[in-house]
Amino acid sequence: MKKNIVWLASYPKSGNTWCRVFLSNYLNKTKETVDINNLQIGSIFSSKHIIEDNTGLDISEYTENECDELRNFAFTKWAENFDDFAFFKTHDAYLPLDSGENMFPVKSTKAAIYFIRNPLDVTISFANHLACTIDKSTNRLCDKNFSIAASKKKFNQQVRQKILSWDLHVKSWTEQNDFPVLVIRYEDMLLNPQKEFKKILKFLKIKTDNNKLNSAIKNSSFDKMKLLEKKTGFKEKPSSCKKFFNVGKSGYYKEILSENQIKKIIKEQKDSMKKFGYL
Amino acid sequence: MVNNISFCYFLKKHYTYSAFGLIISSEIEIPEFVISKEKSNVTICYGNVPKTLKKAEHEGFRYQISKNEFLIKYSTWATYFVCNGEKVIIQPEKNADERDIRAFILSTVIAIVLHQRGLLPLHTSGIVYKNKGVLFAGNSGIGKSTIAIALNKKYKYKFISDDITVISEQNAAPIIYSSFPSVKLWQDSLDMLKISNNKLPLIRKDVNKFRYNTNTDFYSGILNPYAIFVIENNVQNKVEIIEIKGVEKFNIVRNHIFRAKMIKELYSNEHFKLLTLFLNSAKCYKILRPKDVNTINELSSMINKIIKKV
Repeated sequence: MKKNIVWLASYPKSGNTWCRVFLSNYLNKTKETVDINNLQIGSIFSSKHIIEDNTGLDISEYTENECDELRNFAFTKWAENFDDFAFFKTHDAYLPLDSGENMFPVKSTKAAIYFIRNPLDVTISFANHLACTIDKSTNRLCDKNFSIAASKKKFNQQVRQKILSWDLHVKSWTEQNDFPVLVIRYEDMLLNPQKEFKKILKFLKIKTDNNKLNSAIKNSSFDKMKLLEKKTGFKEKPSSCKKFFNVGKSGYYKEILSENQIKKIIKEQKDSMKKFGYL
Repeated sequence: MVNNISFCYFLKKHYTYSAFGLIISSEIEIPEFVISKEKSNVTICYGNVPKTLKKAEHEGFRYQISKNEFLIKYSTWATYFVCNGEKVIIQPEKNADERDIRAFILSTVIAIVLHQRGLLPLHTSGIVYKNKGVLFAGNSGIGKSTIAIALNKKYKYKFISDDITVISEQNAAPIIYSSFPSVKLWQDSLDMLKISNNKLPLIRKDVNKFRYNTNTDFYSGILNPYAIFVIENNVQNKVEIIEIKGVEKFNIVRNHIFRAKMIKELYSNEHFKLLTLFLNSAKCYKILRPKDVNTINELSSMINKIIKKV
């Protein structure tokens, strides 16, 4: 069994896709900008397609818990197709199955990179992503039992993911001891992408080539992705949301959130906000 | 063990049905199937199943498979053993819900019976046009059933299958067998089709998908092929239908063999022959439609025009 999985983990809207596009460009063997609709890095851990391909089963008629039981097996098998790194994206909180067994394939895991962003900005971006009001996204961000892709009304391309509240999500990944985790703050990526992406490459023991680094940063810039989305569409965009790449700034909550919304988030998410420098 | 099962089988009540060109004698009532009085060629019964296969060629998550045998354990409700394309033995877990047991007979288990018999089960729904079959292929959740029901409701095409359609041959010509008069639909499809979920049974105890009966609009029998539409998501926000020709037809439709990932290449010779025969007689189109957008009226109207023109 290979030990090559690297989790690109985050609460939604925290820079995960940005890093996937960066890594895809950095590790791309040609000089061309990668196609955002055909990213070869970071298949999502909730993909029904990958679970079905690697188990041979049709899980469209499985219950949510039955699907979770298959994920460890499916992604261990899928990871065997990659050499040095099997990068998998996930928004799941780091949780075991109800039976206590691992839902994540720990034995095949090399490490994780955890992307964190100020929840006061996350809630605005999350509202755009879910096509809901900021009050609703704030309630979801503070909901200790929140799950995504959990609609029982329709077929989902992804299995249900328990993401919990923002604070519990952060704790679930950063306080586990099963494998090493590098925490990257979205705000630091914006401020000094060279420094933060170098940190990621160093953590993964990938040789840093400054020319490639600068070119990959340029090709994964927010403006470039926004432009590509406008031109070709972005298949990972939920149909209800107008633009996946929306604002991408930090601190813009000050112009948008109400006092009550700010108070609620700070009151309920303060542990991890303090720990990671947002308070 | 098999003798004991056969003995018990004759003592118990059993039901005879026709589906997929098979006559099935079953200890389990399967109300979705059409009742038959013919002599059966497949039996389904409860009994003890082997713990493992003696000569498994592939193993997956809780299943083993060889060309003539298949064993799968669904954790909480039952283990199924399928052999020689003619026998299904089910060993249920304590307190298993019969709907759960039945749901997997109607999908994976019956598909393995068909594969073992050298037939070609495609992951498609289907309708009838002038005594010929029009099929809709695609991955789970893409809208195969919804489009078949929409065409039935709007343009009165009879319905032949949901999820699995069987291709076989007769006198060196390809044929399609009808399956059974029932469709599985999610709530959002029922909403699109303006069908109330009132009194519709769930397909499984804890899965919120409904079984919709199509008895009155069902065509039971054998058909010649007419066309196959392969449905895919479009990143762009528009509906497109493109005719596919030549070898690409084969490559596209091959991806929609039912449970292809489970059976791997075990039946590749049989499938190659039947698929080639089928595609020599059927036109092939790719439908690209935006994900999660209700395009059912536009799409059914476009398909109807193409069917009438083929």
